[in-house]
Amino acid sequence: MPLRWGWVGLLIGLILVALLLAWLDSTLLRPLFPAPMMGAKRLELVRSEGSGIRLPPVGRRELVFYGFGPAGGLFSFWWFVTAGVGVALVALAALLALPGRARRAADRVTVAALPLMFAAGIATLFLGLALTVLLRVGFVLVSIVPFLYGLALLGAVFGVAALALAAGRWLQARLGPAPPLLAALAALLVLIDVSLVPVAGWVLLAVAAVTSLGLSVLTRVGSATGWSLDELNL
Amino acid sequence: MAAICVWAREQLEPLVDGDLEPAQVEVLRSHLSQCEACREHHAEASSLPTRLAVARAPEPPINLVRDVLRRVRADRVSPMHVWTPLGAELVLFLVALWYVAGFGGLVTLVQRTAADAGAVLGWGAGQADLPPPAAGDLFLLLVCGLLVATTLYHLTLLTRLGLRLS
Repeated sequence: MPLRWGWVGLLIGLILVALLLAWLDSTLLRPLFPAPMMGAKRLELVRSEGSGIRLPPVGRRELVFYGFGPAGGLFSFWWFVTAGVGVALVALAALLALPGRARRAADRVTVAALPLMFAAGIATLFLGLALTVLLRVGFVLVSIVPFLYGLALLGAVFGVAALALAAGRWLQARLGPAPPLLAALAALLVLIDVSLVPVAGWVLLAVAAVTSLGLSVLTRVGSATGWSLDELNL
Repeated sequence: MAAICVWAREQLEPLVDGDLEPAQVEVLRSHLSQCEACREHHAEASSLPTRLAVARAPEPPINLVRDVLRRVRADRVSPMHVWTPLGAELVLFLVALWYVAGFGGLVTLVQRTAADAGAVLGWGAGQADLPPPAAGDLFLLLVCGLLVATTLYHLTLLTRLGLRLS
């Protein structure tokens, strides 16, 4: 299948935007990121005075490029890059591992169904919280709680993959044919770019994650029969 | 039954419909002239279209449309049914949140649950003593039980509506 230049341009553009946003998040916008844990400190850049490249100022803030900083830490450039690459790879792995289920789940994604999926995701979150309290009192049953959370996480990952596949089809309709994994990757890059925008991007990422969880729940992880008990009769 | 009879009876319907080649018709007519049983089958097949044409179509019940519409409406899940449970869930969640003293209390509750789970799993692996059971709060359990019931009902409705949208 010959790949059109539009796809190449889109992918390169999305990757460049992601890298730029990751760099901005790790430098200029880093004060917006909260420290989620007491022990975790934001990684400070190792600056060598006078060795940076001066960039055009943003407002009254002076912007100097000191390199991409060391690997590791929290909210560093490489942390954003590896987190984004990790999300994309895990979602693509879900598509590779469960292609039939992902296709069936993606078939169910319509504009009208998205609010239902979001509502289902919210309901599932509430259900998880309530079960956490109930299972804790069950004492031995409390050991199930981590597995429930793990299942929810896997469901969200599968949902993100199915949503990316559906969004990839939407892109294919506009940019021409492309391999489904490549189209899904483009959609995942859009999600990563959006999530790298502070505050508004986090909200959109949370909405996408909850909708993905709801998609997995409503389609029973892309099962052919959905939530039907017919299989018990076979 | 002879093989020629099996073949002939398979060809009776195309013969009646006029779909056979002249050579095949010739062979079939020749067989029918010699085989009494196949001739009876042919007579039956020939008269079937006429009998079907004579038979009258049954009259539909007077209330057919009304009954079908009533069943469709009864099976429909309105947006009210979909979003109202979410309101109830939100109220129950806020009550629980208020009862555990806000988000800080909720985080503490989740942390304690994680610690309990780790302790029980550690006990199962023989690495730690069995921790004491957590004390349950009756009001919180009641609220969470209601929340579980509401969310399950809500998910059932959403699944039904989701199936219809696909």
